[in-house]
Amino acid sequence: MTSEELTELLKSNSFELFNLPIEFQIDPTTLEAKYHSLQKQIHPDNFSVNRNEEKLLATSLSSKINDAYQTLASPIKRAKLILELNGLKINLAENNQLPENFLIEQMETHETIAEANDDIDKLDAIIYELEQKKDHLIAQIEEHFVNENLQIIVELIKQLSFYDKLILLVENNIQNAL
Amino acid sequence: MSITVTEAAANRVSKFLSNRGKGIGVRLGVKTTGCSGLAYKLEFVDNKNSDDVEFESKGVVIIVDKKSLQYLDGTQLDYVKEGMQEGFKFANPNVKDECGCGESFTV
Amino acid sequence: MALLQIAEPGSINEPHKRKIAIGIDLGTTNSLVATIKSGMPIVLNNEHDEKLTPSVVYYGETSKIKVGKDALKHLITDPSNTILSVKRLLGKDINEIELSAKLPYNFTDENNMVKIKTIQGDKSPVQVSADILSKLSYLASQSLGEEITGAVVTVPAYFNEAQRQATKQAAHIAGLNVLRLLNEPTAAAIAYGLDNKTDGTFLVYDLGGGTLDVSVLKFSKGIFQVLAVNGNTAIGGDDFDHLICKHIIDNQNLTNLTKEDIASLIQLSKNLKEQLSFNESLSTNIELSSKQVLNITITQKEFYNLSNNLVNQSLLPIKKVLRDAKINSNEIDEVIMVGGSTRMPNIKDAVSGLFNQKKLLSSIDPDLVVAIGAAIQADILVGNKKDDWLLLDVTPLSLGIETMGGLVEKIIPRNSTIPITIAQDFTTQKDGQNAMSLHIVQGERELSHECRSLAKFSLKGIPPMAAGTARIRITFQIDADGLLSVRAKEQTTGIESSITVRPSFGLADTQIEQMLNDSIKHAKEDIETRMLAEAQNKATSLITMLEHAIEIDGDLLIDEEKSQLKTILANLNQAIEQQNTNLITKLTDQLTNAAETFAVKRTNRALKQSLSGKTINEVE
Repeated sequence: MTSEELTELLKSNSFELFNLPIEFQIDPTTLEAKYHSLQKQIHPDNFSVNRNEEKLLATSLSSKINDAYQTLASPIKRAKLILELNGLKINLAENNQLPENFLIEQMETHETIAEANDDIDKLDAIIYELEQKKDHLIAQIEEHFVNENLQIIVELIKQLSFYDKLILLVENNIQNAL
Repeated sequence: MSITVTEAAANRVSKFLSNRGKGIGVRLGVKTTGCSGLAYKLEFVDNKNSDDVEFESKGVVIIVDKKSLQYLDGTQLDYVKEGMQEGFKFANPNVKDECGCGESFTV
Repeated sequence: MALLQIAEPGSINEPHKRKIAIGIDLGTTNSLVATIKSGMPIVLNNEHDEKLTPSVVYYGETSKIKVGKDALKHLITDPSNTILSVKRLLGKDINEIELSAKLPYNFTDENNMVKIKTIQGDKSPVQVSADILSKLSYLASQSLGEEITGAVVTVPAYFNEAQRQATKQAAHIAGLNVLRLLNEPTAAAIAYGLDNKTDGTFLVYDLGGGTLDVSVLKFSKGIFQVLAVNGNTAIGGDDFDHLICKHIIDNQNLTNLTKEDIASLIQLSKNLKEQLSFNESLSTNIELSSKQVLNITITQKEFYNLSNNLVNQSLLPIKKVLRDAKINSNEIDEVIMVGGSTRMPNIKDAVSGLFNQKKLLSSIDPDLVVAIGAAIQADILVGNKKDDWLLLDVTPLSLGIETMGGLVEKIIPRNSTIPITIAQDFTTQKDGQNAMSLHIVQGERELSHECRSLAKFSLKGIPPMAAGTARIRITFQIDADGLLSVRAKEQTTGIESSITVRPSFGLADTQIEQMLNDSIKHAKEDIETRMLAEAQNKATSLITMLEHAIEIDGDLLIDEEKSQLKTILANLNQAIEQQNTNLITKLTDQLTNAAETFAVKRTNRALKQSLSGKTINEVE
C-alpha cells in the first residue's frame, strides 16, 4: 500500500475502514476476520524495513484499526457512532432524563455489590444478572434501529453505559478479591 | 559430472529441511556478482526448473542449474565449525582465486 | 570468512547483503542470544561453549569490564563490584529498590537517578544492562561473522513504561538497532506456536530469575493475539534463593555476616534450590569469613514449606489474567512453562492444579524458549521472511492522567491491543486559566499517588476563556514496542505540546547522549579503522587477481578495455595509499563492473580449456 492510500484510509470512519454497511447488527465472526486481515496488511511490522515516515503512518493506521475494532465490537460504541453519523451527538454525562425506576434499580445494584463484599461467587452472580439486562437493552436498541427511533436509542445507550460501568466496578472488585 | 556432500553437510541439510517442513532438497548455484566475478548461492528447493540437474549424495537431493554446474562440477559441500562460527563451505576444484569473504571466487 | 547458510528460494542472497537479525533474552539471572540459520532458530554459544551467559558484570580495578561467567568468579571475593540481577533495578527509583530484595551494593541517588557505586565509578542499572547487551552483541557478531542488522530484545510482559524505556536505552547504548521490545511470554508462545503450527488458546506461565509473567494468547489463522497479561515484577527465582538463605541464617543464629558471607550463602542457596528439584534431602557445609564452618541440611519438604506462600502468590496472576481474558481455565488448550524456575516440582504441581491437573508444556527448553521466539520475530521484522503470521500484543497496565483531587482518569485500559491511539478532551477549571499541567500515570489504582508516575508536562499559552470552555485534547499513543507518547492540543487555538514519556527518575536525554557519545566515539573509531582495513583488503585482493588475470588472459581484452582497467587500477592504488575508505570502495566497485565482461570471457575460456583437456570418459 502506498503512503497516499494509507493517508486516505486514516480519514475514514470505522465502518468504512472495515468496509461494512452502517448497521447496528454485526456478525462478530466476520468482524474479527476483517480485523485480522486488515492488520495483516497494515500493521507496522510489515513496514519495519521501510522509511520511518511509512512506519509512523502504519502505526497510526494500525492504531485506528484497533480502535475501530473496539468500536464496532462494542454495542454502545457502535450505536453511538451510528447516531453520530446521523448527526446526533450524545453526552453520556448528561443523564438528567433517566427514568426514576431505572435510577432506583441502579442504587439497589450498588447496595447489592457492597453487600457481596469480596465474595467472588456473589459478585459473579451480579455480573451475570447485569449482562442479562444488557442483552435485553441491546435487543431493544436493535429493534429501534430497524424502526429508526433514534431519540429513544439515545436514552437506551445512556442506560447501557450505566450497566457497563457497574460491570467494570464488579470486575474490579473481583480482581481485588482474588 | 558430480556434486557431493560430506556426512556433516548431509546431516545438517536433512535437519534444516525437516524443520522447514517443506522442500525437496538444496540448491547450489553461482551467479556473476561479488568482488571476484562469481558468487555462491545456497537455497532450499521447493520446485525444480527445466534446466536443473539433480544429484543425490548421502541421501540428500542436490539441485544445480546447468549454467552453474559448469563452475561447480566436482564441488563438495561441507558443514564446518570455524572458531565460533558454523556453516556450509564449498570445496570447489575449479576455483583459482577467492575473495577474502569466501563467498565469491574466480575460476 | 563467513560460512554460508541455506537461504529461502529467491530471497536476498548476495554476498555481504543478507540481513542478520538476532533475538536477545536479557534475563535477570542469565542472558541469551539467538538467530535464524538456514531457516532454523538456534541459540548461539558463548566463548565457554555455553548458551546461557550469566547476567553478571564485574567492574574490576583495571578499567576492564567482565561479563558472564568470568564476572561471576569475582562474586564471592568482591561482591560490591560484581553486579548481578541488575534487571531487578532497571527503571526503578531508590524507594522501590530498597523495598525489593536486600542487595549487597552501595547505591547513590542523585536527582532520583539510582546508581551503583563501583570501583570504576557510579554505574546506573541502564549502563550495567548495556554492558551485558554489548557482550551478547559481540558474541553474535563473532559467531555469525557478519554485521548485525537489528535485534529484538525481550522484556517481561508486566514491565511498566519506565522499565521498557530503560531497556530500550540500554540497547541503544550497546549500539543495537532495536527492531522491537518483545514481551517474554509472547516470545515463548511464538516459539511454541510456530513449532506446533496448531491453532489454539495458550496460557504462558513465565517465572524467571526476578520476574513473573502470565499471558493468555490465541493463535488462529496466522494471527497471534495476546488477550491479556498479568504478573508481578517483584517475584522471581531469586526470591526462593533468599528464602533458603534466610532459613539458614535464622536456623544457625548467624550474626555479623560480611557481604562476602552473604554472597556465598546466597550462591549456596541457589545451588541447594536447584538440587532440591531432584533430591529429597541435601547436606553440605560452608566456611564463613570468620573461619566458622556451617553444616547445613535441608529437605525438599522443608523447602516446600518455606516457599508455600511464594508459590501461592505466584498463582494469583493466573487467576487475574484468566478473568481479564474472559476465559475459563478449561478453555486453555496448552499451559506453557517458561523460565528456569519452572523446573521446581512444587511450582509445576501448583500450576497444573489450577488446570485440573493438566499436563504442562515444556518440550522446548524453558531457559532457551524466549530467545528462540525473539530470533523468529527478529527474522520477520528485518524482512528476511515474508510474513505468514502477525503478532498483536497488548499493553499490560492502564495509562491515565491525574485529574482534580489526585484522581486518575484512565485513558488507555490495560490489555488494550497495541499500537493504540486514544484522544480525550479535558477542560480548564478556572476562568482565564492560561496553562495546564498534565501528570501521566500508569497503574490500576484510583489515586494518582498510588500509581506509577511516568511524566509531567505542561501546556502553556491557553487563551483566557471562561472555566470549562477551553477544549484540550490529550492524545495518548502507544507504539508496537509498548512505548508511550502524549500530545496535548488546545482545540480552538491549536496550541500544542507533546512529550515522549521518559520515566521521571530515569536517565535524562542529555545523559543518554553523553553515554552514547562515549561509547560511539570508541566504537566509531573502531568501525572506521575496520572499514578502511576491509576496503583495503578487498581492493588489494581484486587488484592482485586482476593483474594476474591480465597477465595470463590479457589477449581477451581490446585495447580500450585494457587502458580503462589500467586507469582505474592506478587510481585505486592511489586511494589505498591515501587511506580514503570512500574512494577505495567506489573505485573497487567501478573496477569490478569494468572487469565483469573480462571475467565472463575468462571463465568461458577456462571452462573450454578444462573440458578440452579431459578425455571423453571423464566428461561422460
